[in-house]
Amino acid sequence: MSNRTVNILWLYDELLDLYGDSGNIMLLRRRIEDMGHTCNVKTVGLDDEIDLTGIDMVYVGPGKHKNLKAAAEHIVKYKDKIKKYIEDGGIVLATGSSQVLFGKEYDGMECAGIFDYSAVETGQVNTADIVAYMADEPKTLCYGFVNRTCYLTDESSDTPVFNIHESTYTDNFKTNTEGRIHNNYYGTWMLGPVLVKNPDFAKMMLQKLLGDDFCEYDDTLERKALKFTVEEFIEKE
Amino acid sequence: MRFALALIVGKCIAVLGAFTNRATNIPGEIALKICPDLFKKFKFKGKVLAVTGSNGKTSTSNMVAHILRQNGKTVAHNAKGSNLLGGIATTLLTHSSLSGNIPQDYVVLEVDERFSRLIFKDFSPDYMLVTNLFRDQLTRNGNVDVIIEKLHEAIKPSVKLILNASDPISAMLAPENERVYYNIERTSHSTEKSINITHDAKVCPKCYHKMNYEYFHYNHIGQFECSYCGYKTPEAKYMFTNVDVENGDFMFGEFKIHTEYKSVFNIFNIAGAVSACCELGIKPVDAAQAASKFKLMKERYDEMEIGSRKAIMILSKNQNPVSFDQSISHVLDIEGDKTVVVYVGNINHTHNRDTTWLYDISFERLRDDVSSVVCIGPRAYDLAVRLSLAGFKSEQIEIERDINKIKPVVAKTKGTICIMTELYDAKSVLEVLTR
Repeated sequence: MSNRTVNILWLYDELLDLYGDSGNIMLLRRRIEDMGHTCNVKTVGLDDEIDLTGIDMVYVGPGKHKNLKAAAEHIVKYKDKIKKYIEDGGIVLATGSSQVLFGKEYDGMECAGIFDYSAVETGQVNTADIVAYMADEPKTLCYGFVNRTCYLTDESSDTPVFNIHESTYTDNFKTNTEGRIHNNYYGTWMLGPVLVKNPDFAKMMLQKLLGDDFCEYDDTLERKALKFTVEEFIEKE
Repeated sequence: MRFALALIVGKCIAVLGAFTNRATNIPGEIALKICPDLFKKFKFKGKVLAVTGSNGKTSTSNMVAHILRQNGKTVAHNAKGSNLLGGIATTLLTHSSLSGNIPQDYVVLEVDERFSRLIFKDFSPDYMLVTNLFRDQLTRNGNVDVIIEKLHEAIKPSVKLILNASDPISAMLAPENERVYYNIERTSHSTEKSINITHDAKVCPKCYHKMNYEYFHYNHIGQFECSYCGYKTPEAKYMFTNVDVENGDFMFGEFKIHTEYKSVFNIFNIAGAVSACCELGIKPVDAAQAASKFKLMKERYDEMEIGSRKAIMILSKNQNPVSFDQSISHVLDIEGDKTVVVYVGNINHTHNRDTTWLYDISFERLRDDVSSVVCIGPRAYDLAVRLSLAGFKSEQIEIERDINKIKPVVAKTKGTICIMTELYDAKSVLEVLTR
């Protein structure tokens, strides 16, 4: 193992800041530094350029309607760069409504166009607890909270991030799947500190991010917190 | 006829309810069922002031009523914070004659910002004081923009606004309406960078480019200017100066004001209340004098003994990070060893298991200042994880999910016990600790 520097680009950290999103960066930084590496977090706002050179992971969280439209107007200028980054296997975690930025259109605004979906804003708040299996190994149960006002025209990805457990089936997700994986792009409607709440999901991301430089760590506390949450939905076996 | 019947039934239920302490909402709710356009029928002798905002509206509206009464005015007021449709209807009908006349000199209504458009569908206040707007209970309220839309529906063109000049969000409400601003000058507690995670105006709320701050009072409340569109702190008609936070003293023009609850947040509440009273016709000297005599309700802040240890209860509203940030500021001001007790349950009203909001509270500020934090409730482990990520050492974190078993856990800790929790949960915690 060698000491290395991990560069994370937090897109629109100030513009798209609905709630709790900093938890994901906190967790990544803590784990990366505890493994003896250096974690650099670079942020981008409307007055900055998106430069993906040397970036190991892109994180973007959900935002308010008008803020998302402002982000869409900005991101579209970098659509070719972002497409190349994702097609080349760059890691992206997009939580909540930030997924709209990677589709074709959001509320009349052109977006990055990586995926064929458009996003429709309803103005109606829809919330749901989701207990779901990771589609990736180790396919363990996770928990996420969904709080959204918009929908994608194509919600049912063939490569979901999560397969929803029957205890939390909801009209919010008609195919009982949630999210979208494309290469190393992960888009999920679960919002806030999804990496903190789901230790296996975080581990999978860190393994992708660090490869051979990944080291095991103690996440007992997170696992207990998740267990107590999941147990409230699923009877103890 | 329906109106008279609604008033009679409502008044009777209010009298009966007074004996059971449940008279704040139900009389109004029933009266509204009998007469759905109840609000349209009242005739006010005096001016009506609405007080709303994310944080501080109960204390601020109580203070307005106190200042007016101290100055010999009669006031109709929902003092207990019943600020939804039923509570407002109860307040109005209990003060009204059977013909619908409300004879008080002033009507002061604390109003829930989310319900404001429904409450003011059929009548309108003359003045509206908005304390601030922050993220607050997102599962219930939606985000700040949703609240702004609802407030815009509630604010009729005739309403004169009394606004906090240091809040970039609420300062831009209903731009066509007549308005006055109040503000507090820089204090020794002001910081050049925000010390809080929750900061709802990192970008300009008008153009979405980066907002610049000369200093912050707390969270996003501060002296601001957007270099892209030019939006900046508006000029205040009512300015509060020479703020000595440690001693709770400050000046309003040439008049001194003193408060026992020594926080910048509370001084903003006083500034809002005093400014509103001046707009309502009270002389500045009289408003300042009366404000100094105001005492916060014990339900918001209380001190007590638990065994041989000092304990304090600071109301901290669930899913409201700014409320917790304020409580943390208060804990930091307490000298000596201290232990913080926090109950984290599921989301109020919706019962979702979401704990996302814990990541918007700056627990990091407590890390080097408290001996330990006792995490209680169904989501105690989620709080423990949050504290761990904030850099707390494992020996600083105590976890007990079952509230009935916390007594021995708290007994192991040392110093002043700071109960930083929602009112209902705080009562349960106190009950167990004092058993």
